[in-house]
Formats: sequence, C-alpha cells, structure tokens
Amino acid sequence: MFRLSRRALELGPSQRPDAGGYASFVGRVRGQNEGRAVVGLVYEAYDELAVAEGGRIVEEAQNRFEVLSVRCDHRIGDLAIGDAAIVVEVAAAHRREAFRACEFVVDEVKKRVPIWKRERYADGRSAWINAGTAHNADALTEASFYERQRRLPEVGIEGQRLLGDARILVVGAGGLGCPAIEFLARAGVGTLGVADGDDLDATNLHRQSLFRARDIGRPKVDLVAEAVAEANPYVRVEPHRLSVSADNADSLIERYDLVLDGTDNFGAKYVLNDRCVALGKTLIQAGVYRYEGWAMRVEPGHAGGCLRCLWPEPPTDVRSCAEVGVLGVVPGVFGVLQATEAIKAVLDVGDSLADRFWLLDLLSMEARSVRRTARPGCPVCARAVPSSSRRVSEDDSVEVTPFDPRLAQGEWILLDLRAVEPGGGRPVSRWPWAPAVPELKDLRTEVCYLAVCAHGVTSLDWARQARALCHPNVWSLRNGVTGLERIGP
Amino acid sequence: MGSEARIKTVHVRYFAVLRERRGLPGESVVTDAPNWGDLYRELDAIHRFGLDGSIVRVAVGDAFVESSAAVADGTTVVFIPPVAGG
Ligand SMILES: [Zn+2]
Repeated sequence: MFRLSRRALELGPSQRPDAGGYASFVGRVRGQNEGRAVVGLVYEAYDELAVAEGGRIVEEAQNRFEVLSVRCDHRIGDLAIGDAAIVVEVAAAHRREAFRACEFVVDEVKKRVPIWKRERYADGRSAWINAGTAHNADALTEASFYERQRRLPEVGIEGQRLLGDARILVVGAGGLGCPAIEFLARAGVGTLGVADGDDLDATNLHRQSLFRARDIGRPKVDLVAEAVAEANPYVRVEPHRLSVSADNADSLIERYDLVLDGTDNFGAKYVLNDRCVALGKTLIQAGVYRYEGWAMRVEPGHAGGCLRCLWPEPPTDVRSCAEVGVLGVVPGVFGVLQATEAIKAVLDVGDSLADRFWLLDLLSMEARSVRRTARPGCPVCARAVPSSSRRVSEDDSVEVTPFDPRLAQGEWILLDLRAVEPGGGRPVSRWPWAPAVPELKDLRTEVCYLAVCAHGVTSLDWARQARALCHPNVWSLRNGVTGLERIGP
Repeated sequence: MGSEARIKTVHVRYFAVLRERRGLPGESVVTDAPNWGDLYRELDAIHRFGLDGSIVRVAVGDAFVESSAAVADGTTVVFIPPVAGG
C-alpha cells in the first residue's frame, strides 16, 4: 500500500500474529542541507503518477522479499523541521527480509516517485532540490537534453552556449508569457527572469499553459519557477512578484539582455518600450485581439523604430481580452512566435522583426508583414541607446570564440595572461609553451595576438588596452580557459 | 474626366476591433476620398467603428504609410488599430 498524505504521518501498530520481524523507517526533515540552514520544506507530487509508481514499488517489494505486508506513506505539502516525510513499515516472518524490503522501498521511492522538494532557508530564499532529476536521473544529461537542437547548423555547440549565457526577462506570465517561457526554458536560455504580480485565477487556465487547476490562488511566479524546474533542470528562473511600472522597470530590465513583453495592457507595453529603448535592450512585443494578433521586435537605435513610432501615445479606448474574450491558442501562437524571435536574437540568425510589424489572422489564416520605419521626432527613439543585447559584430569586437575562422588564418601568437592575472598570490596554472607576455609597447603590428586568461575578463581588459594603443590585431578569447573546458569533451 | 477620374476602387482589410465592428475581414470599396484618412472617416461614418482615425495606422502594400497619403486605385489597404491583449 502506497499513499500520499497532507497530514502528519504516524507509525501504525504492528498487530500481525504471524510476523516475527517488523521493520519501520521514518525519514524526517533535516535542519541543514549542504551547509544552509533549512527552516522547512514543501513536497509536491504529480498525485496520480506518484501513487501509481509508489504502488508498483510496494508490489515489487512484496514479490522480491519474503514479507507479509508493506506500507509506505509519503507526506506532501508544507513540512517543518522534524516532521516525518516518509514512513515505511514492513512485516515479515524474519527480521532480515523485513530490513531488506524496508530499505528497498525507501531507496526506490526516492529514485522513482515524482515528488518534488522545495527547501526554505533561514535567509528567506528557497530552492528546488533534485527537481527534474529525481525521476530517472540516470537517463538525463545536459548534452542529451539539447541534442536535437544542437544538430542545427544555426545552433551547434556555440549557439547552445550563447543560449545558456543568455539572460531574458519575460514580463507577464499570462497567455503570451507562459508558452514563451516554456519554450525559452526548453531551448536552454540559462536565466529567465519572470515578472508577474498576480496569483493564479481560474479564468487564466484555458490559455496559460504552465499552470494547473489545483494551483489556483498561488503566486504565478512561484508556479512558473516550479514548472520550469520540472521541465528543464539546467536553467534557472528568477521570479519577480511585481507588476512592472515606470518606477521599477529600470532596475529590473538592467539585469537582463533581452525583454519579452507578455503583458496585456498598453500601460505596461509603453513602459517596456520606453525603458528598453533608453537602456539599449532588445524588446520582443506582441498583442492579440480575439483571433488576430501582431508581433514585432524593437531594437533600440534601429531604423525600424519603436512602438511609439507607430502609436505615439498609449490608446485609451481599446478593450482588453478580459472584456472581449480570447481563444487560448491565439496568445499561445504569438507567445511561441515571441520566443522564436528571442532565440533568433540570441543566436543572431535569420531575418528579424526589427523593421516589421507582423500580423496574423487565425480565422482567415492571412498573414502580413508590414515594414516599419522610425517616426521622425519620436522622443523615445531620439534618445535610444543602441542595443547592447545584440551580439556585437565580430569584426568590431575585441573578443573571438574558439570557433572563429580567422584563427585559422595568418600568424597568431598565443599569450597566456593567467600568470599575470591578479590572483592574490595563489598558484596559477599556465601553458609553459606560451611566450612571456610582452609589454604593450613592445607588441608587433605584423602578427595577431590571442590573449587568454581564466575567464576572459583580464584578457579582454588587456586586449582593449592594446587596442587603445593602436594595436588592431589583439584579441581576447571569450570566456577564457574556463570556456574551453565547458565546450570540451 | 473631372470628378470621374477621382473615383477609385480599393480593397480594404480590417484588423482586430475594426474587423469585429464591420463584421467582415475586408471588402472592396468604391470611393472618391483623396487620402487614406478621408477614406477611413468615410467608412467610420457608415459602420461606426468607434475608433478615432488618429490611432488607426494605414498599411498599403507591405509598408505603413501616412494617413495623408493619396488613395491609389486598385490597391489593398489595411486599417490597423492598436491591440494590446495577451
Ligand atoms: Zn520610436
């Protein structure tokens, strides 16, 4: 017998006259995990799956060992320190079989039953433990997760690394945001900020694909973090439980490379437009109305202009989805489109919507791509900071990747800067065959220098100094030796 | 010639709330409106879109144009109001 319980677990009395051996195990919540003080935790399960898998384990124990009865109860919900999380009781004719069956059940439940644990720490933070890897952990590796998309020539190992390094802010975890977040997470966007101040409402469920009916009333950003942890354990969600406004937009946007606008109102759309253009962040926007919608990219400083170039002021007399109704798949289609555009921006592939307004009518299946140009006198575009989230064109950059074709051409001298890096006196490994690092004034102009350090920071600094002294052929290896290790075998 | 020459046939497409108010995705219209803004006002007078022409963007062919641009015979025009739902 396997059960999930929201109430405190208890050991039952062993009252079998035929049981000579009776073994029980109680797993309790510890106050410490990997050096952090734990104040409590939450267990969450896919109920039906958990009960089915737990039942199979109990059945296996009964077949495998000479036992009379096996019972396992697992707690779900909020637990405090010392609370019993799991109770296993085995009755058998002999003690040895009882011990072995008891251990088997605990081990298998930990490995196979889809139950997620979130620890709450004394410092107010919390984290999912083993989320996504608890079930069949051996069958999952980061390489296998992305295997199918890494085969694409536009992605490859380098593109996958770019996605992993990307920091994307999704504003609004609604009909547009949910599918966008899900696909960005599955694509391996390493850090996903999610800003939404709402709790899950029943009316959200027909279109907001990350949520489940049983979570009504819980904060959406928490639910997003949980759903993403379950979908892809190799990416991280930074939840921001707030509604974006002119007051908080800058501090939020500044921390990310690119912003995906999943909001459903003009107020938020104009705040995001204005602040992203001012801060030099690429913005992917969309809007839907019943069966129709639009999508576009705002690239600060681009000739295609911004949302204010199209409509200088936020309109006031246009009704929202709440009033007119919307079919769930319609924002779904546009959210997925936005995710596609964001991935293209990170990988710097394909044609962008930076100078187009893309329209689709899902009833007639008519699509249109209308060219946009910046409106002369747009006060937002006039103060645009050119987008920093777009990858700098490699010719202008001081950085090269290990895959840069230029490295195969001409004469290169590799300089290992790790020996001169500020390391606080700790021993540094370096390549003994690399020549001593010359003074900047002694650099030769007829050769190319590739500066390498541990993380690509010191070398970038050094290459920029050299460039400033009119040595154009000095480059820095992006992410340094650590980056090489990450893409290595 | 005279006024006869100013009569034009254009193919109008409506986006979002305009389509809903009109009850049609589009229609062919015979008009003597000199520019797109005038054509919108002409249609608004008949169909009561309830949206001021100043916030309706005009796309002709594959590009946005000013509402003051001249109506050209035989072209397709899309009237696009702002849409924010999600
Ligand atoms: Zn603008």
